[in-house]
Amino acid sequence: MSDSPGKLLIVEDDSALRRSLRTTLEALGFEVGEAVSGEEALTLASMSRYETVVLDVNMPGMGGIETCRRIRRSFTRLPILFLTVRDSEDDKVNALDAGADDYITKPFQIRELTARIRSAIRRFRSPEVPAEAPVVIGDISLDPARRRVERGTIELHLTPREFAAMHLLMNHAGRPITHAQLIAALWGPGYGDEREYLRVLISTLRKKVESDPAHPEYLLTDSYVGYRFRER
Amino acid sequence: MRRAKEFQRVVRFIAIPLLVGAVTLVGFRLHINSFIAGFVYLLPVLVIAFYWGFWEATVASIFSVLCLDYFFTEPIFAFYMADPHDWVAISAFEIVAVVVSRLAMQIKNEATNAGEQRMRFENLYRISKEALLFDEPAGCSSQLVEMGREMLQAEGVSLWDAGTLKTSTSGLIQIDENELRCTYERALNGNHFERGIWKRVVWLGQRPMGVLSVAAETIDEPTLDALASLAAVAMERARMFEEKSHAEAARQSEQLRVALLDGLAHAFKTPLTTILSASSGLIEIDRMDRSQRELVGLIDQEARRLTDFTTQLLTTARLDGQRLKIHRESIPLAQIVNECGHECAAVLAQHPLSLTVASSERIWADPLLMKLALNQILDNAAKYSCPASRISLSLHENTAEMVIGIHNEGSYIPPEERHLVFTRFYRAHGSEYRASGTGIGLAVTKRIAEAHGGAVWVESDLHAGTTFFITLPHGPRES
Repeated sequence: MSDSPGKLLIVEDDSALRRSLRTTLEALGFEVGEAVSGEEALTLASMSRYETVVLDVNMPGMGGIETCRRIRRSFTRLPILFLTVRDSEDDKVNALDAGADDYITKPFQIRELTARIRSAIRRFRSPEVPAEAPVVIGDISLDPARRRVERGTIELHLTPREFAAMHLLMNHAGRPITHAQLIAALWGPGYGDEREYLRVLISTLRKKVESDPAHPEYLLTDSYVGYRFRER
Repeated sequence: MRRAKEFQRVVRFIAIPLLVGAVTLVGFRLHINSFIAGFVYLLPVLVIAFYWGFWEATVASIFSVLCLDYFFTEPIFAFYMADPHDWVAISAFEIVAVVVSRLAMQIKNEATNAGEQRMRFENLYRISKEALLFDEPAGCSSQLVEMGREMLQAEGVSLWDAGTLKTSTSGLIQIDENELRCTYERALNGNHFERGIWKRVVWLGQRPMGVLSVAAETIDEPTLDALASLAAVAMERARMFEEKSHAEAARQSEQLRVALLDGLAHAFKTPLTTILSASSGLIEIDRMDRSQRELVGLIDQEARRLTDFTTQLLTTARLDGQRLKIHRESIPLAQIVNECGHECAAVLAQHPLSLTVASSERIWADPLLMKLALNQILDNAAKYSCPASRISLSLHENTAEMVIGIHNEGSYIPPEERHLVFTRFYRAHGSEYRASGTGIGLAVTKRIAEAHGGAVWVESDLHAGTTFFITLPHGPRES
């Protein structure tokens, strides 16, 4: 199974786009299931073992966000990739907060979509790493057990909160983490909208982690949405 | 009306001697003495005083005195009194008659005044209630003059509104608009009577609103004052109502336009997504020969262009809507320009871009919107400047704001066109064949700069070239 590109479920109410995606992705070797609505997607997901769900955010009936929430309830690790039709940032944030792993904005290039799908499937197939396992991405290595972060061989001195932010972002490398998720994880649920704290934290982290803080290589901004750590 | 009053008066003065004569006749036949006669004569005098008035009563009392003297005091049938007591009695009678008539008249006058006052208050109350309840404030002046004419019992009333230059008239009134304008411009206080017409400037606080004129001989001035203040309030209400409905109409048409644009762009985006996913899919699958690959490449390229255009339309629709949300961040300008450079790579390929901005220099702006704004200017500069010329971007800071300047050679814009380049769908003369473009670009830049509290303008010189400037206010100081 691991040498096949993967098996995925496309949930999209627009039949033309669904057909085009299915034809293309099948031609590229993926095994593709189709659902026209959130309800159908839930049935199919419980019947067959998919490795990624590509989910349209705007659908009649249950809608993408609710579908995502329900899939997440039954399948904690199944990657969910959102298609947002608007460049509405609220949709992206809502989708991520509902448990989606990533989003892609319509209209998109197939190359970009397949890259995201492949990365999601790779994450899904890789054995679940314990949260305390060391993470190495590019030059940066983080060891939760020893609470050490190194760039190359140089140790970086981080405050506990900076360390927590690095740990969270690196554990989810390649996936965006919303502002709200970061703030809740780092400051606790009492803080809802203290973007300013987060902005300052990320900017000091960049000064410590990045070789050129103005052109970050690792700590990337997803405008309006949140931050993501570079994928390995 | 005046005739009727004179006639009434004549009738009364004829009736008074007849009445006194009748009393005399009755008294004389009954052989009453002078003492009782004095009391009997008081009766008609009092009645006359109460119903007709003081002067009538005085005349009646004089007749009574004469009759008393002639018929009841010794010697009878002579205007002469033998007994000095009679002199005293008759003088006392006259004094009592006059004083009592005077009192009666005062009581009557007060009653009349009170009645009139009550009527006036009732009228005012009615008119102000109706003025407040006008269902459509726009047509209230015609209702107001109608009510005013009824209340003042005038031949005609007209109200000239200085704001709309409209006159509302009720009844017959001959008045020239120029005359009204003169009255208005002299802005006098109080009522002015000229050639049978009362005129007064209507004030709302310290502000003259128009002129109220009334055709009538006499007028109750307090009522006219009240009418004028009501007119001022009603006119102001009408004006505000009109302004509100204009604003509402403008807002609705703007909303409609935005909704239409939004809907259209979305309707285009759905099929475009499919076309793009199919064309880019074909390229990705890569099982085509050379000519097929070239044709699919064309489809892909043009679909992408159409997508960009749609996105731009959608963005302008969103920017024009009132709901533009700005998420400001402190961002390095150099980073934004670099990202713009990637996005405009195709057009910028022919123009070297020089950046005199330190990588640490930051602006306080919405990154996506700012990128969009700069993209439009860079794109514009690349399209219209001299071939292969340099485009340079600089950032200056003064106490009030950050100024971004984008300079390119050539593309002279004459002064009269400079503000027009920022209006939507405007394209410079002669540019129709020079560059492809939609003409919405710089309007977007303007809207974005203004939404940030900044501004945008262009300076152009035949030799030095053209520079676009964007200003942005400073953000909060970094701690």
